[in-house]
Amino acid sequence: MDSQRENYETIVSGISKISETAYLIRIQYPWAWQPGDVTGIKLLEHEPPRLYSIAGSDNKNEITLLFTEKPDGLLTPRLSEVKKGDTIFASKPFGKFRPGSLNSWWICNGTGIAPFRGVWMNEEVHNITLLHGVRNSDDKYFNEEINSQHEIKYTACLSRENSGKDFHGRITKYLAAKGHFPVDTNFYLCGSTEMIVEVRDLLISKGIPFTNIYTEIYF
Amino acid sequence: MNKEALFGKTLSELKTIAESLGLKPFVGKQMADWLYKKDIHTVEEMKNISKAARDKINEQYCIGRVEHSNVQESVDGTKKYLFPTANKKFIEAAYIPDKDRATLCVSSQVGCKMGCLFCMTGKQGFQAQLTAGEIVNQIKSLPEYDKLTNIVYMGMGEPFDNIDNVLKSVEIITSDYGLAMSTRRVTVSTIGIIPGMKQFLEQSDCHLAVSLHTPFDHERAQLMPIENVYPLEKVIQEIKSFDFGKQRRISFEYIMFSGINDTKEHVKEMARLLNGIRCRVNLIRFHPIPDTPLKGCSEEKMIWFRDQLTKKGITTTIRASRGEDIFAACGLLSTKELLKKQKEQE
Ligand SMILES: Cc1cc2nc3c(=O)[nH]c(=O)nc-3n(C[C@H](O)[C@H](O)[C@H](O)COP(=O)(O)OP(=O)(O)OC[C@H]3O[C@@H](n4cnc5c(N)ncnc54)[C@H](O)[C@@H]3O)c2cc1C
Ligand code: SF4
Repeated sequence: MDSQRENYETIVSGISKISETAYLIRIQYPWAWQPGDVTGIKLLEHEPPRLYSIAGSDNKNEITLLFTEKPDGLLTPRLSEVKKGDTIFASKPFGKFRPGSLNSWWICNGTGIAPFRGVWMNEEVHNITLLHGVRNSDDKYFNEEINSQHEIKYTACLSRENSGKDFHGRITKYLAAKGHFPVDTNFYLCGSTEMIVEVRDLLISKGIPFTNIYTEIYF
Repeated sequence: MNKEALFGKTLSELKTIAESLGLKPFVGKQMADWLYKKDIHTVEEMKNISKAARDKINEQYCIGRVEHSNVQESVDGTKKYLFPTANKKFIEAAYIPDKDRATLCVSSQVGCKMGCLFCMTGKQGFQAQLTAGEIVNQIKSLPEYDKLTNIVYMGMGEPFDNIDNVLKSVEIITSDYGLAMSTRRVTVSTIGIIPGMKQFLEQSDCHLAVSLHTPFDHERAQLMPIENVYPLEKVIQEIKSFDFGKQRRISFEYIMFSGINDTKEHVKEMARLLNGIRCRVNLIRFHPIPDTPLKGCSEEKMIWFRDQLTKKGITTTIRASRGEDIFAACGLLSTKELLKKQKEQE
């Protein structure tokens, strides 16, 4: 059986609520992983797993995952209820999304910021432009952490709030208004289908070769 | 109260419904007959079920058949049917008559989550899963239903991202109690969602088509984001480990993009990748979608590519392009404009 389908019991090291709907969960994880990898998570042995990007590691032999609770979802309403010490099932890491850590644009929405945290926690980053699309400032996950990363130019695009500090509007509005893009730069997109399809089209219309665009869709 | 649709229920579900209403399980079989062998639109029409039983059924259930709301016809005879779904959404099904066969290309989702670079449905994003009833309805409510010889799940959506409803629909289409089509006449196409594909291979006998489009993983990831999660190499590994028997067919779909996936190296890598799999490769003409950075290959290039693969021992055909003028051809199905108009009106 391959690593994607085989699930192993593991222990929850901690869980915290970081916004109205978002949680950070830390689980014991004995396997080596690379930034951009995902893991399959489930609570019962015989249910289908859901996939989560590894959002870095806050302690040795642990990984951190960022998720939002979907009220009618199969997993996340129960996942948000787990407690430290509970047993859950996780798969070995897998996936091939590999965000560049140098001279790159990272464009994400919602929890799509997760794999990029895996990069800045694990690798030296240089000249990164990070665009994060969220509804309001409450959803600017890892805001403080990012602000201490001097090589990351961070812009949050708030679709439902005019904070005065952040860009007010969707990522596509921000990008559409921007005149010039470096055509020799790689763009890494992560998050919802709608965001990825629209941003990809927009970048292509601005002259970025599609071969410079890498995507991870949270389908 | 919104009544639940009976159309799209499997025989065992219909028997359970009958029992839950205090009726004998054979009423479930009678309902299946009416739903799938005949052409009814109301519970009242189920004449061999007693009036009292029909009343009980009618309290909670309706038939749930839906007629198409629009049709466009191509110069080549292909027809594109628009069907309304729950929540005022729409899907398309393409009817493709040919010399000795008539194929229906059905949708499995409203829109799609997979975001393939070359696909109009992908640009539409995802709106909803289709129920088994909404999938089978595209077939049973087709005006040309009696002429149909083949069903392909190659319309809007990724079937294995809606695996439970797709498996139920396949059961209804191929069971004796249902539409009773041979499993050899039904092909389900996937971009390679491995968990769903395994389930399908284990639980159904229908043919499988896999969208390959390039044998190189870095190229495939740029055309099809799914490559990052379920890489082709793993998809092929799963396929190689499965016994397809003598009857069941596996084919690979390959849209040809000029200067991207049409070289000698691609031929060589295809031969390596597919070595040991008894399969067919279907080469498909790319139908450019708005603002695409991709271009289709010339006819000569496609013939050359086909011949090269054939020389390597891979059965390869060039699929005839159908319904291009009405946007019914492969990769062109989308109700994005319709949805936009609806939103504007709301
Ligand atoms: C590669 C990958 C990585 C992922 N990483 C993360 C991550 O780091 N953090 C995270 O929070 N999530 C991530 N996801 C999404 C995650 O796997 C689950 O889908 C999500 O957490 C919801 O799970 P659920 O079981 O609670 O809800 P589900 O039961 O899956 O569905 C919730 C609701 O949303 C609807 N729905 C599902 N998908 C869509 C869609 N695309 N558009 C519109 N409606 C939809 C469903 O119909 C349902 O009503 C990732 C997905 C993939 C494929
Ligand atoms: S090709 Fe299929 S899987 Fe890909 S976006 Fe289109 S409908 Fe979805």
